[in-house]
Amino acid sequence: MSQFVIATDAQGATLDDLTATHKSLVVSGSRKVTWLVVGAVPDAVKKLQRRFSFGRVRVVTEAVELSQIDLVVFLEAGDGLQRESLLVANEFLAAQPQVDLLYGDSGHPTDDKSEPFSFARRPGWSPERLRAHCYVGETLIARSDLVVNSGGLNDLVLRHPHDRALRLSENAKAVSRLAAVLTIAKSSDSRPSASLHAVVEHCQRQNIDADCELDASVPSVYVRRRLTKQPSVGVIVATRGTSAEVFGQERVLVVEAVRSLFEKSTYQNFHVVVVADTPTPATVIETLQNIGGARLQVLNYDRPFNFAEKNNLGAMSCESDLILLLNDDTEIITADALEVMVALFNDPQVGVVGPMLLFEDSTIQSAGHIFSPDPTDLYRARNPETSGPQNLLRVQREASSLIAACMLIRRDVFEEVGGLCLGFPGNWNDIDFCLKVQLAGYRAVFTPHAHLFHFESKTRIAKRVDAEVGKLGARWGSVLDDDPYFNPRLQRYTNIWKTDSTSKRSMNEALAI
Amino acid sequence: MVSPNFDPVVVEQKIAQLALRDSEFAKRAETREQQRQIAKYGSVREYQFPPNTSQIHVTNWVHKKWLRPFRFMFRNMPRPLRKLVKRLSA
Repeated sequence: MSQFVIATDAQGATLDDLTATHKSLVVSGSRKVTWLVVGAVPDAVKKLQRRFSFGRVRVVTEAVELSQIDLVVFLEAGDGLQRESLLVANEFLAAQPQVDLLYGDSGHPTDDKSEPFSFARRPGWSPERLRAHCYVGETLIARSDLVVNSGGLNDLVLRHPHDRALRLSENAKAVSRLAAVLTIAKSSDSRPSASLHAVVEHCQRQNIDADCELDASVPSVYVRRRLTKQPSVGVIVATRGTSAEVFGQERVLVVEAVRSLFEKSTYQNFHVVVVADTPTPATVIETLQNIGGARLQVLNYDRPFNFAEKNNLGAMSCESDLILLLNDDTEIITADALEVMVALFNDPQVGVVGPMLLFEDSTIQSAGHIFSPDPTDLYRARNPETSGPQNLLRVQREASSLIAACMLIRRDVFEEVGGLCLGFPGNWNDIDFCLKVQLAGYRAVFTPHAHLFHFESKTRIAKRVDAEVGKLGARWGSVLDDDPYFNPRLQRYTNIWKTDSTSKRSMNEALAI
Repeated sequence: MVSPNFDPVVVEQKIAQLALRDSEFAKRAETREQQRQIAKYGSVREYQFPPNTSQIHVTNWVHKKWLRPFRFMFRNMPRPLRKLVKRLSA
C-alpha cells in the first residue's frame, strides 16, 4: 500500500468541517495517513491533534517531507473521502504506472431523504475543458514527484482548486479519470468552479495567446485565442441545389449557405468549392458564381452519391491551410463563428473543430456526438439555454466526434489520416474521421462559442446499414462502447446522459434545470 | 488559394493517396480493436449496436411493459411504505 498524505487548506474551515474530514480519513482504506492541515486556526489544530493523536491519522501543520510519500490527496476541508477510496485509487495507480494525476466522481448531499446524494459523474481527461472550469473536481490524487515539480505541496494546497488542477496537469505525464466516487463533498452544489486568475496565469505559462473572459453565470472561463495568423480556409460544400422552406420562405439552401458565409462572416480569408451533383440547376450555379466571384469554384460530380467522396474531391481540388466541410443546409448565426473556430488551431494538437449547430427553431441540432454505443447528436432538439450537467454545453471541450455538417480541419491532418472513408458513403464518415484524427494523436474540439443553423429535419434518423455498423465497430468498437468523454456510470436517456436513477431530479440535473 | 490549374488527373491521384492512407489507418484501428476484443472477450466478435438504442427508440427501463403492474402497485402503496422502499433502494 502506498504512503499517502492528505493535504487540506483549512483557511476559514470550522472545527466541525475538519472533524468530518478526519472521520472519513479513518475509513479511507489506508492503515496510516498523514493529514496536512494548512491555515487552520491554531486552537482548532490543537483540538484535532489532542483528539486524534492515537488514531490512524497523524495531523500535522508543517511541511511534509515528500521523499517518503508516494501519493498526495488534495482534499477540501469539510469534504470526506469515500470509504475505501484510497484503496481503490492505490490499486488503479499501481495498475497504471504512467498515470501521475487522478480524479474521480463525487457525491453531493441533497434535501431529498430518499436520495441523500446526487453524484457528479466526470468525463475523461479533457485539457481544453479544464481551461474553462475545474471539471475534475476539488479532490485530486497526484504522485509526489509531480507535486514537487508543480510548485510543492505547501504552495499547491493553498491555491484555488482550479489553479491547482491546471498547475498539476501542466506537468503531468498522464492524467486519468477513475469512474468511482472518491469523495462526499460538503457542498450540495456539484457544478465545477472556475478561476479567471488561474486560467490567465495558465495561459501565460503555456504560451497560449488568448483573451480570457469569465462567465460568472455558469461559471466558466472562455479562453478566446487571438488570431495571430490568418490561415486560408477552403470551404467544401457538397450539394444537389435543392430548395426547402426555411423561416417560412422557400429558398435554395446552398445559395443561402454560401451567401451567409460571404456576407456575415467576419473572417474572410476563405474560398468556396461547391461540389455539385449533375442534376444541380444551372441557375443555382450561376447565382453561386455571382455571389462568390473568383473566390468560388464549382466542381461537377456525376457519380452515384457518396458524401465522403464529394468532400474528398472538394478538399483535394483546392489548396488551403484549413478545410471546412459545410453542409448546404447551414447558415452562419454568429458572425465570428469562423474566426472562433480558426483560432483554436493555434494549438498544434487540435486537428478538428466543430461549432454548436441549431435547428431552424433554435433548438440544438448537435453539440458534438456521444457514443452509447451508437453515435448520437448530443442534446439534439433540446433547449440551447440548457447548460447541461456540469455546464457541459457552455464550455469548449474535447469530444469523441463532431458532426460533418460543419467541421473545420487542419489540412495536413486531413491528408495524414486519409480524409473521409469512402466505405461510409452516407453515415458515420464523420465519426470514423474524428476517431482516425484522435488515433493520429490530435484532438477534436467542440466550441459552443460559434453558432450555425443546420436546417436538418428534426425527424431525420440516420439509416442503419448493418454492414456499415459492422465496419465501424471493427475499427472502433471499444471506443463506441465506452465514450472516453463520458462516464460509464451514467446511463443514456434518448440523446442525453444522466445518472442511473429513475428520479425526476436525475433528469433535471442532466438538463441543468 | 484556389488551385489555378485545376487538373482532374492530379486531383484523382491525390484522392487515391487519401484512400491509401485511409486503408492504412483502418488497418491500424482494426488491429488495435482486435487486440482489445481478444483481451476482453477472448475472441473477436462481429460488432452490432445493441437493439433499441437509436434516437427514436427511447428505452428507459422503467417503461418496460412487464414493469407496469409493479409500478402501478408501487404508486398505489401508502406513502410511508413508498418512502421506505425508496429509502431502502437508495
